Parts: sequence; C-alpha cells; structure tokens
Amino acid sequence: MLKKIWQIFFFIIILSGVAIIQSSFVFNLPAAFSQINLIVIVLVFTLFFFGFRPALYAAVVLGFWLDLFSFYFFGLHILLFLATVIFANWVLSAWLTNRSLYSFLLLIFIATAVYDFALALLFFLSGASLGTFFLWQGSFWLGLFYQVIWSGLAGLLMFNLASALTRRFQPFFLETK
Amino acid sequence: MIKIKRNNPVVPLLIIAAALFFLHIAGILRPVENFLSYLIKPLAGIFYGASADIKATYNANNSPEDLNAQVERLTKEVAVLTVASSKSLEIEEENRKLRATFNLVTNNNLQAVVANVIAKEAAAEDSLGLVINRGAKDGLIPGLAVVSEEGLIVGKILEVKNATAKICLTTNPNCQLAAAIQNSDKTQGITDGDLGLTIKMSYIPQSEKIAPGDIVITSGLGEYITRGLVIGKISQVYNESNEVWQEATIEPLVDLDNLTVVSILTP
Repeated sequence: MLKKIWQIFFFIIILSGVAIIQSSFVFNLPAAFSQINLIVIVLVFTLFFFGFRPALYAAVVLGFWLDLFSFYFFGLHILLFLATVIFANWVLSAWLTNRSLYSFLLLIFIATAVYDFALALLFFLSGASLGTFFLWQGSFWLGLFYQVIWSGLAGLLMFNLASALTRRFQPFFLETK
Repeated sequence: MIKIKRNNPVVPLLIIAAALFFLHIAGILRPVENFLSYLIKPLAGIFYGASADIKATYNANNSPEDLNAQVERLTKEVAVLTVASSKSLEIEEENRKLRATFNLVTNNNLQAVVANVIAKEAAAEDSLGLVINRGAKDGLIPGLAVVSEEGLIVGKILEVKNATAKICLTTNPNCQLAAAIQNSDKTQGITDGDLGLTIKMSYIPQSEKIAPGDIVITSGLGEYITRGLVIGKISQVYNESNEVWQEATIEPLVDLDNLTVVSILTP
C-alpha cells in the first residue's frame, strides 16, 4: 500500500515537473525549439508503456498544471489532453497491432496532430486567434511540422531507452529466419 | 444504444475533470491553486530565466554579424567586464536592496511593483502572453502599464489571478495603447501589435507630418497609463493619398523576447 502511494506521489511529481518545464522553459526557447511538445510525448509514452488508465490520470495532472498557469477557461487543457489520450488509445487498440517503434512513432505523430488541431480550433472558435482560419496559416503548419520532427526524435530516444530497460515492447525489427 | 462498461476508466476521469472545473468556478479550489502557484513560482522563474539566457545566446550566435567585428567587440567587453566583476559583489548587494525598496518608490505619483516573468502561455500564434509572479493580491488590475528595466513600456496587464497575472506585449494584436508621436504636431493615435513582431500605429490623420526616427510615447489617454512612457521608434510610414488615415510601423527599443524582470506601474 505504502509502495503504491509512493509510486503515485512520484508519478505526480514527475508529471508536475514536465508541466512546469513545458510552460516555463520550452515555450520560451528560440522559435523551432519552442515547438517541442513534451506533454503529448509524455502522454503517448504513458499510454504506450503503462496503459490507458495511467495515461488518463497523467492527462488530468498535466492539464491541471497548465490550466493553473493559463488564462483561458479552466479545464481547457485537461479536456484537450483527455481527448488526445482517448483518441490515441482508440488508434492504438483499433489500428495498431503491435508495440513496435513504428507504432510508437505513428501514435506520437497522430496525437501531436490531434492536439494541435484541437487547440487551434478552440482558439479560433473562442476568438483568441485574430488572424485567418488556422488551416490557411503557414505558421500553423510550420509549427506542426516542427512538433512532429521533435516528437519523432524524442520518441526514438524514449523508445530505445525504454526497450533497454524493459521487455514490454516487441523487437525493433522483424526477425527473418 | 451505447453501453458503458462498468470498469471504463474514462467516466471517473471525466467526473474528476468536471468536479475540478466546478470547484474552480465556485472558488473552492482557489486556496489550493494559490498554494500550488506560490510553491512553483520560484522554480518556474528559474526555468524561464534559463530559457531566456539560451534564447539570447542562440539569437546572438545566429545574427549575420561579421566574426572579426564580433571578436573585437568581445575583446572590449572582456576589458569592461574585468573591471565590472570587481564591483559585482557590491552591486549585487545594492541591487538586492533596490529591488526590495523599489515597490515603495514613487515616481510621478506612481508606484512600481517588480515582477518576474515565470511562464509563456500557450496561445494562438499571434497573441502570445507572458505570465508574471504578481497578481491581484499585489494590487495589480487589468490595464496597468508594464515597463522594462530601462523604463520603456513593453505591454500592459491583460488579466489577473490572485497570485499571477497575464501581460500582453506591445507587439501583441490584443495590446492597444493610446500613443503620441514626439514631433512638431504632437500627433496622436493608437498602437497595437502586428503579428507579434512589430508595433503598428493607426488612425494618424493624413495632415500630420511623421517621419521614420520619430519617438512614440504613451499619450496618457489610457485609463491607468501615464503619459511619456516610450513605446518605440517609427521605422516606416505608410501614407496612401486615397486613405483617410496613415499608418506607421514602430520598432520596440527593447528586446521583448528576453524579458525576465518587469515593473508594473500602479496608480
């Protein structure tokens, strides 16, 4: 029981750290680097590695911290992250048959795109974005491109790191006899 | 008919999310939010400062400056810094005292509250906002002027929470300021941000004579913003004969990307 409480406590501390790093550090980095989306990467990693339920809890914890800093309506980030995890889980269970690196990367790309579309749509609908519709903005696609690149690199690193530490994943390449 | 499984994890999580939302709306969650904000503000400030340093270094290394000129400049800087370093401890102590007393210093019947930038808000590309570690409990209200360490206006308070506040920079399209140009006509107009990059001054009558290089200041017509705070310098004038108004692009005189400490002028 005590071990379980410590695990949850540690889980919350790690996620809180990620949320603070994202909002206070990453967002202020030079243009291309500021597109790194640690939150989505961590959510997909949690979903892939620990399962659906922990990923949902991670979405609530991470969303809570970002909502705390945010001046948009409270719950915006919680809802966005929950929606991203639910969609990613659907893709994982309905479309991806194994837990290979390719599945992991594909899932990260899809989750990043879903998150970006949902966020931009909400900003557009709420009137926060003053420009033209986000799909016609080059900056939106450039941002998404950078996010996909960064997320892919981070995913590659995290998957190999996790593969070295656990046997939960399938082999990297299909074995041929 | 959609069947929800008894052990479906989504339902309790949505209930938790809804509960958090309603507790926040009802204000019951506020003490927890204040405590957590208070707890993480120093850490967030450190991270923000670190990223600002990285950004400044990155931008400096990527400017198309001639390397020889850069070496020459750095050599001079080393000489200056060598002298300065001997005084750094003394200045550090002085700085600490000044910061502590700065809140109480009045200037033109205004008080200044010093704040650290602790986060950048994820927002639409053209309307970025910065989050500072001061809020309603420090007397901040929307509309107050935010000035840089040099005393130049860099934005204004957009929204406040109890322990934090959101500021919009002068380059933000949501950040409108009543402005005046320091020319012979004392031209007045309104400035707002242009794509988060520069500042645009609009509603300038065609009869007014403005030119690149003119300094733009706050006009004092805003509710809480005093006259005379420097916004920037005119870099370009758009004067079409068939238009009622002319426009000008203003360059901020301070690097808005690397703000870590700001002062808020309170009435």
